[in-house]
Amino acid sequence: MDNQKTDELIREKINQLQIFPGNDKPDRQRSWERMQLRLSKPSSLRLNWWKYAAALLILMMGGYALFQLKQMNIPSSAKVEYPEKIEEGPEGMKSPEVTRNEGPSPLSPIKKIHGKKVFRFKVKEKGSIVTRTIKANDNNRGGELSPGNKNDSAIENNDHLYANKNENIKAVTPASKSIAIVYYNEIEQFKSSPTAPPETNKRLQIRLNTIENPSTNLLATQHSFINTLKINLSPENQQ
Amino acid sequence: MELSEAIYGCKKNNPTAQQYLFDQYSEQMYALCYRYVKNAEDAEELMLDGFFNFFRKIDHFLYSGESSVLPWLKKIMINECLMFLRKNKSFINIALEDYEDVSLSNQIIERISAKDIYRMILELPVGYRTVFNLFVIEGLSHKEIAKTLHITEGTSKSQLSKARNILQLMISKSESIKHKKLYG
Repeated sequence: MDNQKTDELIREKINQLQIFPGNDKPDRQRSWERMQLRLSKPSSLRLNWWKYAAALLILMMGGYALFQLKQMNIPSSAKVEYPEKIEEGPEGMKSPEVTRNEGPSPLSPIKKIHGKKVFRFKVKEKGSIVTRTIKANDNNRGGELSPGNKNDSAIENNDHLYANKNENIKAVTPASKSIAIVYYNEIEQFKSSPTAPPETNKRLQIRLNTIENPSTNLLATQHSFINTLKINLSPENQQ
Repeated sequence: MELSEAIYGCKKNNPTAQQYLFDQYSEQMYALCYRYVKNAEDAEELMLDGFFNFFRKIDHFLYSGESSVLPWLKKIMINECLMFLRKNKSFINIALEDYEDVSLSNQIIERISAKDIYRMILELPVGYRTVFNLFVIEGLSHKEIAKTLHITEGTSKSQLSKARNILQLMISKSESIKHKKLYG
């Protein structure tokens, strides 16, 4: 209670003090001139700085959005062309018998389409020649992109391999080699080729990367099969 | 020029009206600012800042008699001073636990002049002085002071108590000097 009364008394006395008691009070006219200077300054810069900041921010956001949009827009021509599906013949198609190949693949990428390494070869199917494109698997573990050997000549020279319908193809697998063989019944030797071997037993030699479960993963009708396997179609291997 | 006309003129950016208001209140506002910052240059600068804000925001001011101008102007000035003190980190946020609630004698306060009280307040340390100004002279509560100064209520109470202690010491010292002068 005492403090309240004392406080009120002090408040009254201080509020009654109209004139500054010190000696260092400022000159009123000089102070007013300073005040006038402040008031005459254009306030547009003070008030409108945020407008410039907002415009700059919007520009930056627009640029960023445009950049993101360009990043997301993938051109349709860049899409990878997958090889055609191998259709089953009239007599059916046997499942591939595969064995693991320890050595490097004899195939090498022969062309780049939109920055992707691909293998291309031609195969006759149902009376027409079809160009097959196989995407190179960059994640393979066998280093199969090394330069090819003699057996690669058929691919490197763009030789064509034709097959007669309903021809039985028998595979001969050397015991010493670890290769994959696929039996097709629609493949025959290119008839017009003068260097073609007799149309007897022909085989497709397929060299594989390290595949954990080939019997389940390497069906000829699956894309993964084509993407993973490297097919050696050289004439020497068709003996 | 009457005050209402001056306020109307200020709303129209009339320099004569602005000068009239400035002349009316500048010294009082300077005294107020000086009571907080205890520096002539800073006080003048804060007073000019306060008037500048007053003239800029006068459109939001609703004139309801002559008594309505001074509180609004004071509020602007006090805010300017507190912003200045906060910027300069003049406060020490330490709650003094061993403080006692000291009371000043009314009779002694009545005998002392307003100028002497003003000078005594100026002698207080900045933290004590600010809390004393806000609590005793502006009439804010400890809660409001704590919120305004970003300190705890305990700090506000302890600083006020310390301020009162020092003021009592000053008053008793001044009284003893006067007594000696009178009675030898």
